[in-house]
Amino acid sequence: MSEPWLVADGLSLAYGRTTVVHDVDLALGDGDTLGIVGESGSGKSTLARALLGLLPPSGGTVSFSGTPLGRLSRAERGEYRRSVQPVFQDGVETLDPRMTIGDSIAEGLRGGRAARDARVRELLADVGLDPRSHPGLAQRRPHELSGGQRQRVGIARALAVEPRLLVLDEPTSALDVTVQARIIELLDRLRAERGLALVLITHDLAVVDRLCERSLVMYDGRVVERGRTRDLLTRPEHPYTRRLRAAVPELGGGIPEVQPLP
Amino acid sequence: MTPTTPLPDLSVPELVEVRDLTVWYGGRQVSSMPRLEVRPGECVAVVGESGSGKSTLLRAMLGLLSGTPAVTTGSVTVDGRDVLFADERELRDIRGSRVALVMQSPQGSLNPTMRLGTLIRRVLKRHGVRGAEARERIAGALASVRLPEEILRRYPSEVSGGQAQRFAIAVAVALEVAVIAADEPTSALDVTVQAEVIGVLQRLREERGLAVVLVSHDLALVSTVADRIVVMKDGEVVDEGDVEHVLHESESPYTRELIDAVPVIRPADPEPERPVEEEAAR
Repeated sequence: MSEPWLVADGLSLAYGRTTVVHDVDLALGDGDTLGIVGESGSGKSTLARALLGLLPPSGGTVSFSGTPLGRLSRAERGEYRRSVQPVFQDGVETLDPRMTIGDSIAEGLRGGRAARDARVRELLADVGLDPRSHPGLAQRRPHELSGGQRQRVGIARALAVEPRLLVLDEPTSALDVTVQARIIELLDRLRAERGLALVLITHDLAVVDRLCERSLVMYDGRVVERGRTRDLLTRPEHPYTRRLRAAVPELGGGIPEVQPLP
Repeated sequence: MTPTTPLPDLSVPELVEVRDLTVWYGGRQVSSMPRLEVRPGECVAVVGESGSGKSTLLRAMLGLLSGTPAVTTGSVTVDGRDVLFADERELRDIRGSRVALVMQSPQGSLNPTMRLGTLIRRVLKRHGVRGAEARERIAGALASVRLPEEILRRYPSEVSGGQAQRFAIAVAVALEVAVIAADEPTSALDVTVQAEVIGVLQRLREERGLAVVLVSHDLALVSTVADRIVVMKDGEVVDEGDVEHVLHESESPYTRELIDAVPVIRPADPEPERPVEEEAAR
């Protein structure tokens, strides 16, 4: 593991007076892949928002290169913003419906028009939407794309500022399974080729198994188990992790039997 | 007809029979199914990705496309009664007494201003069931979906997604329908809750001989519960057969692609063999 530069320390998060995430510690460095797994109400998406600096802690800290997010200088804040990029469920939330795909991606780029256009073409090719095989795509608007294409554009847009970490909140849940498989391949390739770190928030254990070296299991706002993803999935210890694991249907398997929580 | 038959029995007449069902929209064929039979106690799953036409077909089978710009041809019978040519009154009767639709978002299909008890009593009353018989049926239905009677006092917003879905199934059970048609009944639910709802459907098949037509995008999930699977793509049936056949012997390239795309948790890594020295040192 490389030196961690995004660290949550005793992080608690609240909406109003209701604390929804309690006392989470985590540390991320370049190339790290972390799954945050849980069901609705577990606090996993709230935790993602805090890592993205969208929600201030009610307790503890999130630090970037050793400085709590709230105390970053202007320059440090700019660097943090570029380093950590979000990808949401189907790209709709991060894409402006009025802007063309090309303009959306170019928004975060610097330089002259020609340089930016070239970079947009490169980024689209990186996510499997090479303009040579998808002519005219950059001129279209988000609603003219399929869900899978929108998600690729969402990833291209996130990659435009050359981040070190992508925080992905259920990036494939809204997609058809064959499309999901291709997005997973894309993320796996980006991780392998550029050492991009990934935080993947999902309810889907099979997806973290594909992409994440380590995982946290969240239940009711708390981390109930953490460790190597392989260990969590093959030898779950906490009753909730076991329950979650048992609920996953397998092709041609029996109906999952889910024990009530003790 | 023996409504308690737990396993499909070919000597039992079909509950649902589809022949050359085609849905047209603006003169264009959007979805078609050459044939389908569902017998008491059977679960037939229709799987496909978005745009495959699976939900459209299910709606056509329930006569829910009448009054829309869609045109339906072919024939669908439920319990021997024709669905496609039935008038609105007859359709209501078929839908209330022979077949019920369970939808993806359970809360969305329940009137939010009514307590669940009022809601289920009204539905029963509309189908001529009231008084002591209604009470008895409601109690039996709640027990078979494992919901406490206390839930009748709550509003739809006061129950969880899984409870709402089990309640929607309980309404169908109380109506004593023979077929439950379910459109992505677990897609909006957490994975642990999804397993509970599938378990409920399975129990109803075994205990009450209910037939289930299950429309879903989730091949892994349906493979745990269905007897037969119909695979749809771009409005056409591309594959069909019992679960074993579809999973292991299918020659349809699309079915193979779908199976390969299902995310799976890899089995445990083999235990690393411990070096002998370390073993000795212990």
